[in-house]
Amino acid sequence: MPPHIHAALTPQPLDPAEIVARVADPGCGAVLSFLGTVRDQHHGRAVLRLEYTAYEAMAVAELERIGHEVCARWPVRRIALVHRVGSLALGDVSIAIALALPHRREGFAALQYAIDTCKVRVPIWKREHFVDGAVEWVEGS
Amino acid sequence: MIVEVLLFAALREHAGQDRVRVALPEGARVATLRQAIAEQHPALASHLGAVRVAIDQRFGVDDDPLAEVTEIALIPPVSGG
Repeated sequence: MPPHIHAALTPQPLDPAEIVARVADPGCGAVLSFLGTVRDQHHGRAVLRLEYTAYEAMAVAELERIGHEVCARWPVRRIALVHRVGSLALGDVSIAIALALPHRREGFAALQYAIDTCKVRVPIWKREHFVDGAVEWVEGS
Repeated sequence: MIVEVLLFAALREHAGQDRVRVALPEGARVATLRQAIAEQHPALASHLGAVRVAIDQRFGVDDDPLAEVTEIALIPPVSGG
């Protein structure tokens, strides 16, 4: 059976339970997930909020390509990769990745590859709004 | 040929717009594009160092030809996730 890959961008708040539910598979004994969350400081400066903007068509395409790479390298049966765009508050979830495989052992490396690769390849950019009033694009992860 | 190049993030601010038009010789490749942008759009010239080029929504390399490409974008170092 071909792997199941769900890749999407959304301006809506991410629901980790919903993303985990997407990868449920009766043949899989392990589900692993990663959430990226908005932190209150960046290089020691207090953050008020973040904005994410994307080259949307390519961002979804890259998320999907990364999903396929994970399923090709590890015995992952289902993977979901969802990134939020727009304005996010402290503590909000910016990216959620969940994957399912028959046995847990290789799942950790697969999940690490997924998030590490998303952070260097997916064309999405973060703009930090600092408490001191400064607004700055972040270049590089 | 004239191509349209999509801009994102800080590059949009440097250019003051979300895309620029660039004149290229026939048979141009990605490497030619970088040089042409620097010459024709000086506001972007000093910001191209770490920028990657995307062609038809995939990352390109210097040797990739542009003749059949329908969408070109400049991708500054990404900061998603």
